[in-house]
This record gives sequence, C-alpha cells and structure tokens, in this order.
Amino acid sequence: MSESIVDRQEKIRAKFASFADPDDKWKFLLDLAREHKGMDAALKAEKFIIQGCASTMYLVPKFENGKIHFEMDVEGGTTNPLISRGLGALALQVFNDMAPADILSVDPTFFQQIGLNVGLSPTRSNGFASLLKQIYLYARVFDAISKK
Amino acid sequence: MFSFLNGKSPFDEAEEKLEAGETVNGRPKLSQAPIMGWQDGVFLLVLVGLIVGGYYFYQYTKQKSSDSFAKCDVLYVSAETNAEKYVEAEACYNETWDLSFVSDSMEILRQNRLGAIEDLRNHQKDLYADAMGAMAARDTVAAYKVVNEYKGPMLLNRGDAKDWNNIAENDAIKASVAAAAARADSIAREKAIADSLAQVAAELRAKAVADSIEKANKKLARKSKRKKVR
Repeated sequence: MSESIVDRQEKIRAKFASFADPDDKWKFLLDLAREHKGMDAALKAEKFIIQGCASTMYLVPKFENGKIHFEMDVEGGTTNPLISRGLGALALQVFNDMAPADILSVDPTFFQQIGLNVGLSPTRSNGFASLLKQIYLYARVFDAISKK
Repeated sequence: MFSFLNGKSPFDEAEEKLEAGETVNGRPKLSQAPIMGWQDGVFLLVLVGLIVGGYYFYQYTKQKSSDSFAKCDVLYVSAETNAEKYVEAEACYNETWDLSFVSDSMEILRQNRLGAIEDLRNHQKDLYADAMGAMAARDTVAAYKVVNEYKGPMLLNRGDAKDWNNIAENDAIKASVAAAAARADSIAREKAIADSLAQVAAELRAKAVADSIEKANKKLARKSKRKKVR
C-alpha cells in the first residue's frame, strides 16, 4: 500500500523534531538538494517557472492515473542554489505522486508549524510560498478535471 | 637408477649443509630470495606517492577553502558597519563556487549569507520600483526622498543603479526638492503666523467675553444695590 500524505507529513515532522542543532535543518536541506535529480532540459519551459522565486525554479506537473507527478529543478546562474533546491525537494516529498484531493487536504501552514521558516531568508520564504501556491493551483485544476 | 640429482638425494644435500653449519634453528638455511621484484617496488612507490600526494592535495584544497571563506567572513562581518562591503562580500562568496572543497558548515554559511544579501537587493529593488513609479507620476520630491532615505549598499544592476544615482544626484531634482522644501517652509511659517494670529484673536475674544461678563456682573450688583436702598 502506498504511503498516505499524512504519513509523509508525520515523517517530516518527526525529522524536524529530531534536529538538535539549528544547522541540522540546513544540512538536511543540503542533502535533499544533492540527492534530488534534476529534470530533462527539454521540459524547462518558461511557463513552468515559479514566479516570485529569487532563483529560477521549474515545476512541471504530469497528471496520470489520478495522481500528479511533479518534476522540479532550480537554476541559479553562476551560483548553486542548494537551499532553494532543497526546499523544492522537501515540498515534493509531501506532494509528489498524490491525488489532487489529497494535496488540497494538506494544511498550507504545515511547513511553518514544523519550523521550516525559522531562519529562512524572506526571499526564500516567499519563493517557497510561491511554490506551494503553484502546487495547490495545479491540484485544484487537476481536481476539477478529474471530477468532470 | 636414473636420476636428475647426479646420484644425490635431496637429503644428502641437506646433510651436507648441516655439516657445514648452515642451519637456522637446527634446520637447513633456505636460500635468500628478494622480497619483491623491481616492478612491484615501482608499483608500491607509485601507490605510496599517490596516497601521500592525495593527502597533501586534500590538505591544500581544505586550507585554500578555509582561507577563502575566512576572507569572505571578514568582509561580511565588516559590512554590518559599512554596508558597501556587502558587494565585496557577495563577490567574494561567488568566487568560492570554484573551490573543490566546501564543507557542509561552509556551504550553509555561504547559502545563508548570499541569501541575506539577496534580501537586501530585493529590498532595494522594491525601493527602486517605488522611486521610478514616483518619477513616472512626476513626483520628483517623493522619488528623491525614497532614494535618499535608503542607507544600504548599492546592489542594483548597472542600468538600475544609473537611474537610482540620477535621481539621487540630479541637480534639477535637487532644485525642485529644495523649492518644495522652501515652499513647505514658507507654508509652515505662514501657518505659524496664522496660528499665532488666531491665538491672539481667541485671547482677545476671551478677554472681551470676560470683560462683558464682568460688566454685566457689575451692572447686576448696582441694580441689586438700588433695590435694597428702595
């Protein structure tokens, strides 16, 4: 049986609760970023860029078998935006390959509740909020399509 | 009997050696062979060279990274008192992308500090948009105020920085700001005069009222005095 979105959230909540040092959160995000596979360059179209992100973040949705699969990648020009990529990878850990209704059932403040925003620069906070907004938007659209 | 040993048994040879005293712990001493061939020696030397070289190269890259990050750290810390240093700190951290060794703690520091500088840049971009909006609305005074109240570093790109400096240093804008300030000053002066006049008038009115009350009281007192006399 596949993991429910609530189970995924609980896993992440437990992970964040286990951080003893403030740097642990950043290390965790760096690890997520390093482990995250990018996406096919052909998919990187301008329409998939998340608006409001300091770095160029692409989020490509694919609706298949009642679930949304997301491909995500971040480009930072000469820099390596590891924290932004890590944040994107964290969001996908919760929302990837889930039904639109499941995505819409998640409390948008979940990431604030676990302390993700603490110490996060305003630019990254805004970028992450834009990413979540876009994920919810796709979920709403695919939810409407699936109910037709 | 046919033999390759010239009629000698291997035991005979051992006995001969024993007799000659070539023994080790009572056993015949075996002939000495080299520990390894020269090819093995060269291979071992190359291997040791690679390990030692790799270790020193690792130490060198580690030291180089540590020095580079220390330099950037000094710039970033000094930027807290001298905002212009943020530009240098950002350039310094951007140079560290080429380093071959970056520890997790260095990476966290780099990401967070570059993020903080990016926040400052976004703040200035917002102010720039406000100033340009004011300029578009021909409110040069408001644009000048936005630009001159900003005390942070110049983090805008070259084109935007040029617009920004034009607003901050343009003589015509300065003149109109000075004229607006003079106008505001004269309006304030006029207002102050008007206020003081109003205050005098109010005081005079109050005095007149007080006088008339006093007059009326006196009149009443005289009337009541006359009534008593009658």
